[in-house]
Amino acid sequence: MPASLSCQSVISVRNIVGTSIYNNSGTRTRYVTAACCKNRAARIRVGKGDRPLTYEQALHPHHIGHRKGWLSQHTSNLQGEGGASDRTVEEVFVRCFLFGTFHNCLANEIVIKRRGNMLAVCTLMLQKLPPQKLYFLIGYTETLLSHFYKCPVKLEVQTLEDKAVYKYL
Amino acid sequence: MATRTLKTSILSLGRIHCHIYGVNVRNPLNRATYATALSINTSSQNKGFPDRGNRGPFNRRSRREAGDPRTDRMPVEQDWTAVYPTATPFRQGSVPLPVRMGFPVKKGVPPEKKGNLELIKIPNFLHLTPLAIKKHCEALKPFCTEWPSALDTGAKCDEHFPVKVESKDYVSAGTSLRNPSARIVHLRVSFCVNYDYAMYLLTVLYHESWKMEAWESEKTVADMEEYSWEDSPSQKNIMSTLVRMQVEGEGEAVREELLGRPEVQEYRDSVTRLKNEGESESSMHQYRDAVKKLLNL
Repeated sequence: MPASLSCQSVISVRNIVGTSIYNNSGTRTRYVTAACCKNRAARIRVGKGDRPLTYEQALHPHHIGHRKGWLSQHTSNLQGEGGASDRTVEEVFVRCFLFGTFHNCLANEIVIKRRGNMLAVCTLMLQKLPPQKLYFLIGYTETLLSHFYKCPVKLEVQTLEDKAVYKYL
Repeated sequence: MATRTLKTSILSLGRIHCHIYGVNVRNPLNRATYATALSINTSSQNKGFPDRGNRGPFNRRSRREAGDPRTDRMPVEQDWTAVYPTATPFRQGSVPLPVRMGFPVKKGVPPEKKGNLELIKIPNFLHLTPLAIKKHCEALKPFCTEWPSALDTGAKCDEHFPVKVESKDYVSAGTSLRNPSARIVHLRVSFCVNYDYAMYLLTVLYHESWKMEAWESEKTVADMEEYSWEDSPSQKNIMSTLVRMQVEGEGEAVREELLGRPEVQEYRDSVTRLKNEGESESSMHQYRDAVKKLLNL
């Protein structure tokens, strides 16, 4: 950016000089069209081919609804219903909380389901922790989140040996 | 000492061993291995442990091996309602079907059910097989009575039960069980009924609804149906701003005097209107005018 700006200032000087001394065919013009940047949201770019990606990471956001499902659904987005912002904030908090509590153990994104006023959080975990520690953390998460949100929170955990790889990028 | 060095050498051999077999073990250092005296004891115990998978005999001696999935032990005539008694997300170790879901890679197939998040995302009805529904009905039958055979037409029902009460239940997702729209109940009365008796009933109901129960005193701010400006963050903020704007001193008297001012009353009305009625052109204008007057802009 700074280099191009200085370049442009030089060109403008040359333009002024050019009009008087040189003819116009040697001058450069400035492009003034609007910048259109590439979309970088939630997409991992193609690399050397050694990086394993899960299905969730490999498909881009414009595939949601076509090749991908939704990680959480709630009735607040329907016509005439309220509380959408509250649900969104709750879900973001739950995701961050679980990401920190089960650090390095989550195999994939968290799926949040609501049944009545119960919050069911479905996770896929790697078998990194011994079972006793895992059970303790599950109980801790459920108790703390139930107290925060004053509603029953249930954590449904499935464990895997390794992450399920969809493709390598 | 000798056993410990022997164990570390075996472990290192184990890692190379796995690599030679071509098993995709990424970052073996991330696994929970215990390099303490405890591991020596467990290593002697695990010698008799059955070797699962093709990971080699020396690897992960201190970790408990994962068991077989439940699908391996399912007979064909099993009771499916015991596997899925309630609504639960899809568990690949409990569903003995070779389900695949997802967009296939080029020249490939949809991903399998192991570790498949798409299967977990969608709602499933595995807990609602016809057998499960039959069981539900059988359990509910003792609490139900037969519909009276005399009431077979709508006209007969209207004649005997002229007062109709309509209440709506809402299934909505949220932290609270209550939906504010469910509080509205419609009572329909047809005028061919005993008018005086109906009026008497309505009066009684009206007075009953005004009675305060003991548990109603536990109502918190979050339970309030309407927004009230007193003791709200809005009142606290505007009071502190005005007190700071005033040059004279602090104290309760100053606050009382500020509350009594007409601009503050106008501000209170505009904020209450905004919160209760929602945003509209007129309410936003009212709020803007109140703020301008209050802050002398």
